[in-house]
Amino acid sequence: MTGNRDLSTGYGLHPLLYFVLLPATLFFAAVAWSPPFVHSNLVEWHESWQRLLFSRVCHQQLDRTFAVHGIPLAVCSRCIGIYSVLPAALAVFLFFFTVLNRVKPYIVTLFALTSLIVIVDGAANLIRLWQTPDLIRLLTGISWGLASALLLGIALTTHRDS
Amino acid sequence: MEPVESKSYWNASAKAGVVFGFVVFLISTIGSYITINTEPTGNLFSGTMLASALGCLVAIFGGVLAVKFYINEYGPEMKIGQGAVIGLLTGIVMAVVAQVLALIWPVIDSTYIENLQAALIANIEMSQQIPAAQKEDMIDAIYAQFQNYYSFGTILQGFLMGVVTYGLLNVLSGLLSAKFMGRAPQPEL
Repeated sequence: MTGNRDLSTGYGLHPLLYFVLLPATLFFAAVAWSPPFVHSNLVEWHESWQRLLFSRVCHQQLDRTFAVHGIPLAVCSRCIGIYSVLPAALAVFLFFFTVLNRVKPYIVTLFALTSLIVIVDGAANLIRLWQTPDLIRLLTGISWGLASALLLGIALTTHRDS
Repeated sequence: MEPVESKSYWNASAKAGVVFGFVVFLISTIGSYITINTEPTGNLFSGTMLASALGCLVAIFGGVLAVKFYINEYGPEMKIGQGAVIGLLTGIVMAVVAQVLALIWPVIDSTYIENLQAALIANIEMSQQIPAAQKEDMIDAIYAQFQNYYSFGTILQGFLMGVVTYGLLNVLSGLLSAKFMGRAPQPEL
């Protein structure tokens, strides 16, 4: 095993991971965290391109979003877990490629399980069946982000020529 | 000598992009009407909450459908990178379709923009989370946003935001679909 390529088997990680996914997920994580550091009030936050960018994929409710010095992040507490852990986990896989092989048999189950938790909890909050604290939302986001990164890692494990 | 078959991604991406662009627009518009027809509670994103959460879940299946269309047309042999490109193109088509429909809808329902603007402003006025000093500024900003609904800058911004978000979501779903639904090409001997 050298770096991210297992020379004994001919398997490695697809270039898409280095050149597309890792930069893209890093960009989204940076943008998600950035509003408190570039805006000074809620009006600026509301008008910001950071909020607009995520408005299609996150509800951004103020009471379900972490804030720094009173300025919310660009995404809710669950999504910030997803966006934060995705690039971190993908970066880890670059250096610890063999981790993927060890957890490979469980990844689809893990992904399905964490997806189910996020969907059930999200739906229950939506119809006001229960209200999950922000910390738990964050943890569900982190677990789903980690499972997604594992799934992407397996999908991007390729033979040299594929 | 037989002609080499050219495998275009556009057919699959366009079909899936149009379908999911329409679906995403539909969900977004339903969310807006929920906001319009709900009594203001002070919650800034009451109606769009459903739309954005569902929109994200639904949008990601555009890449899956596009890869399915591609496999139906050309067979299961495809590289992961091809799935990613199909997903990206699907995301771009989705962004275009959703943006165009969002521009057409206020023509069909002429009171849509006015009602949505009023509903959002009513929510801001009742909000406990926004400091009173900032409410007026935020209302002015929303008013300006709707006044510029048809400006080139607003349209371009909406399109670019759509390309980035739907594009990346569908790159992910496209490459995963290529991995799990497709088959790696066999090297020629």
